[in-house]
Amino acid sequence: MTEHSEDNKTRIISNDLYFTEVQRMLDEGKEVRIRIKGGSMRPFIEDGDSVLLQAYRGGTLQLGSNLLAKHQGKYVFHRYVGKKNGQIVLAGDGNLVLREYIDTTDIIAVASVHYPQQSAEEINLNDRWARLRGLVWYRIRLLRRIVAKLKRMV
Amino acid sequence: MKLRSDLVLRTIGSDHLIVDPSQDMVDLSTVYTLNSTAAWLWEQLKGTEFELNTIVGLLCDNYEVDQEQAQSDAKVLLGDFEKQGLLEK
Repeated sequence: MTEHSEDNKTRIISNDLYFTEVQRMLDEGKEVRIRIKGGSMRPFIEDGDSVLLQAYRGGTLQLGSNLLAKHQGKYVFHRYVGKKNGQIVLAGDGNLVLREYIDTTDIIAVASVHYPQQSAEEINLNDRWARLRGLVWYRIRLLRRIVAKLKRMV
Repeated sequence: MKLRSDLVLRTIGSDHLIVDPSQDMVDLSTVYTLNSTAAWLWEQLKGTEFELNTIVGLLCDNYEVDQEQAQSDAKVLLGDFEKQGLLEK
């Protein structure tokens, strides 16, 4: 009768309902730990790793930080890589082309700690080095696209 | 035995999930969901001292199940509660 949704395959509650609960907890001023699904934040955050979130209540955002936001009705957990025309630009570390443009009101939370599934390590996502390497990784997208293409040709 | 008093059953839409909101840090990376029967049982058992037969009794009195089926369902449920650490130690 009980189901354990640690494994992504057995997730039975919808994303929307799940994030309603995440949002409610954040609104109560709590920190919320969630599991990351998919590989859009590779190589830094793997599918199944978890992160600790704090509600975003306005204020300065640090470039390179990891945000949970709503984009076109869906929830994304991606990196803040810049601003364009007054909008916030997000990009998944693992994505080669896609970017999401959102408003600050779409930002739900900022992640502070990353807990890899494969180790007991706790990584501070907001220290300068973590943010910088993520931004550098984003800046070399063109190079990464070329490498990806070459790999496909081999 | 008793259900952990620090856990709360939340119902969102038709889903029931068990969360531990007592801490400043809420772990939603592992979420336990209950079907509606289990959620109903959770509400009945909350705050009370119970045993396997309590669940069997509740099931037999409120659902159309025979004793044998109720017994086996109750066992499975209790086993899950125990395995997932939802019972008080």
